Amino acid sequence: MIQDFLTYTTVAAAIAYAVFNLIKTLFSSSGKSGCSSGCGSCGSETAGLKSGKLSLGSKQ
Amino acid sequence: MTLAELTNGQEAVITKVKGHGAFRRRILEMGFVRGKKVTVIKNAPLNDPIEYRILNYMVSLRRAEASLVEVVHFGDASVAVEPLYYGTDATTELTEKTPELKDKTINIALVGNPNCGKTTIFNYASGSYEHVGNYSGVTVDIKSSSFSYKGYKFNISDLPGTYSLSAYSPEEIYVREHIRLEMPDVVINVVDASNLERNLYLTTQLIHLDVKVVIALNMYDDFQKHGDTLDYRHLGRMLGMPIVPTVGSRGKGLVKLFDKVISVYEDRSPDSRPVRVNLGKTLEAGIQKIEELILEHEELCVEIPPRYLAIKLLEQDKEYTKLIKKRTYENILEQADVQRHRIEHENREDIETSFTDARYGFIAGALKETYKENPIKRRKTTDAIDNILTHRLFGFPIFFFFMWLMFQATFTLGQYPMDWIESGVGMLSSWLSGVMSEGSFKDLVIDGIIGGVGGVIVFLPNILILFFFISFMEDTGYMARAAFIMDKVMHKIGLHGKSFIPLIMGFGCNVPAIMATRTIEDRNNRLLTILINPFMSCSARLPVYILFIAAFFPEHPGTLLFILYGTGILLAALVAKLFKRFIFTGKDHPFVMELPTYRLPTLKAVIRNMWHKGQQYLRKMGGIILIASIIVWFLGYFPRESSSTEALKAQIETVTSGYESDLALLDEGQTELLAAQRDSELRKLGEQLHREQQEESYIGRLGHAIEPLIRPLGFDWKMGVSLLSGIAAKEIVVSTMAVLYQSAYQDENDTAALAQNLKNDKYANGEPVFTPLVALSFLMFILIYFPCIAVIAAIKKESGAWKWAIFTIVYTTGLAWLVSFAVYQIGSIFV
Repeated sequence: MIQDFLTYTTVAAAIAYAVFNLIKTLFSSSGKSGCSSGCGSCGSETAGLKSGKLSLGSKQ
Repeated sequence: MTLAELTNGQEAVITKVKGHGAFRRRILEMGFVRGKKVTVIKNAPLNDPIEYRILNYMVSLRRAEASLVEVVHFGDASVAVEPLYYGTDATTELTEKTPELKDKTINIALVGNPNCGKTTIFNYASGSYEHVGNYSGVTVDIKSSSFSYKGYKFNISDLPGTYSLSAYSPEEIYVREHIRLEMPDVVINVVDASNLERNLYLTTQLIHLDVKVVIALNMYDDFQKHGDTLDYRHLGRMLGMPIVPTVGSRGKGLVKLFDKVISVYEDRSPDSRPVRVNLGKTLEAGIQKIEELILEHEELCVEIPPRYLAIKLLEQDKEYTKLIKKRTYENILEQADVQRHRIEHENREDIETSFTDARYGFIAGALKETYKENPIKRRKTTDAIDNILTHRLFGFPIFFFFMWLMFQATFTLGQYPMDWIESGVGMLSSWLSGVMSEGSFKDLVIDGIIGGVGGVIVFLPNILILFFFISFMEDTGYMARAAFIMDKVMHKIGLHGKSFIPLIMGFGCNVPAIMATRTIEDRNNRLLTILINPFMSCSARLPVYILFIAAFFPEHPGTLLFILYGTGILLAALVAKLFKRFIFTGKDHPFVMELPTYRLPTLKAVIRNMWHKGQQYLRKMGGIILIASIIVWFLGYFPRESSSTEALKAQIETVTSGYESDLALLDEGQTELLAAQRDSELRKLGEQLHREQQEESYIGRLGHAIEPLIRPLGFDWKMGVSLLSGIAAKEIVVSTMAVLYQSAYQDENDTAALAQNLKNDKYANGEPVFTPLVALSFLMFILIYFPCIAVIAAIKKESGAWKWAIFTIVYTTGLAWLVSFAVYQIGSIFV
């Protein structure tokens, strides 16, 4: 019983996520949506926005 | 926020005054300086102008002008500095301290020629991981990041590389409009030290833009190696821009660079001053006449530096001419026409040439005083390497050899870690199988999730190795040479060199590659490059290739991989030729390609790029691949019962009970043979039940529905379903196969051994489903058919129309069918 419940919940969540992802990819205003990065550029914009991440003095 | 955003009665403190030349000077003189309190008295009836009180007198500003003054609310200021208040007069203390606290943000724009090292400096300074390659045109969009240094927050923007600020290409317009509209506090002009004359051409144009500039004399180590000398301090004084030598790849000089940026921003650098490049008597006279007219319109001077505008109008810049026409400043345009004709008549050459000559004349003069070339002309290493790598005869074989080597290494070196991951996945599956109780969820976890994701994750080492090679070739400058030797071929198929970079990027992922086509000015060429990009085998296809090559062509893995990638390129060329002939007719635009100096990339940069790719791959595993595996498993698992499966189950029960009664009659020593016979029979029935269950499942019914379409290509329904799932992402083809091709009696330690399962798969009549010919036909289909959903979305966004996206789906899938059909049917005659 519990196994069936877990199975159906997982599958329902997966289908919902897949539909959401499809809509996001097709209709997002960002040209990069769905990009799996051939050049390291995907996701790096957000990753790069870390203020104070680097102390220039320590790099020299 | 800006002064224009304040409402009646609000009080604020000025933090920054933007704008140019005369407007800025005037507004500063009026008391609009940093730290002064300003109060909004009232808005005029039509909301413009607005009356303000500053320094205890009233002044009115137009909304457009007020929007150039940045402020913070007086209330916010009180909170920020309250602890510093020790009984002095609040107003004075606040107005003095607030800007100190609030105005510590410096907006920087990185500007420079393509491939001068902007993105390297950007990455090093901000800790970002933007893609860097030793060829031009890598940055196609603005990249922004922030970091803190010495108490300042730096907002740094990496702009696309550009040779000048004319309106010739989209990136040129983009860069100059960014500077004009965003008004960065300081522009860092990155200059390639070993290519000074050409790089300084852009610098001379930045001077006209009336912005604060610091020059980063990048790749200074290369320059020093050549033995040349440059009095960069003197050159900086001449240009009115301080110069700091840097080596971006190693982070050398960056501390000094950002120290200089701070001092320029704080107006503490004596070298930073407005200068006027003298363009010669004839041009200067024309510029002055137009500038005088522009100065009569204050609102224009606020928007665009008058001298810059005058030059642009003389140069017949389309964008600015349109702007002036729209605002009906006909007299300025008329004057520009008069002056242009006069100059062209006097100089006996077109105005563009006059300006270019004058700018290069200025640069030559400046360098004559400051630069000394090493008298001993050394044969440069780059020339020596180029003589071999771009040789008329050896160029192509060397290029093909490198490509083959890359694929061979991807395959052979990747095999070891692949085996480790495979056993890890097997162990996990076995452990879970032991600890979980029987039921549908256990099947979902082991067969669906671990089977699906585990089937794809094993290819991570191959992806990393391939990207190590691609990154290495890009960073050394060999990719640019590849573009060079392929240029003639590109021209033959109707594409120019600029298309090469987006095509190369397509080997990673077609989405950024399609975005990279933005650097192509001509719409036809751009669309053509977009449409053929899906033929570049993206990294998502690599797991499918490796799986099938390992299973069916283990003797020549590198060669097969090379052939697949090569076929993609060949098809791209053929399709481009066809499209150019029938759809995108038109002449090619001239394109001069730059061949950068060879550089040994830092291991850190190559590994970082490789690691980033790995991260992306793992993220995909946890996202779309996981989701697809669950859905595919569900569709293949349900419904569990049907009339045929019920009949088989009944048959199994009958066989079991029959054997049990027979075994009970025999003595202990005689049971062994009969038990083995029973097991064999039950196994056959079990396999049949498993097959029947799959075929009766939702996915089985879907697969059978499309089977007639793919049967002529040699594919069975499971391959058809895998191809369908691959529409979401190509790796899902593998995860789907990993779920569908599990046998009923598979060892749980062996979940990930998909290649073996493919080889063992048989039709009901016992014939193998996969033969090398079927595998080849399938690989061809994977290479050509429907690019993933993300690529289709990117094509729609970049082309601005669904029709091109739909066209891509139709023509790629149609072509895939035709090629696979030809491979299978013709191959069947011989094999």
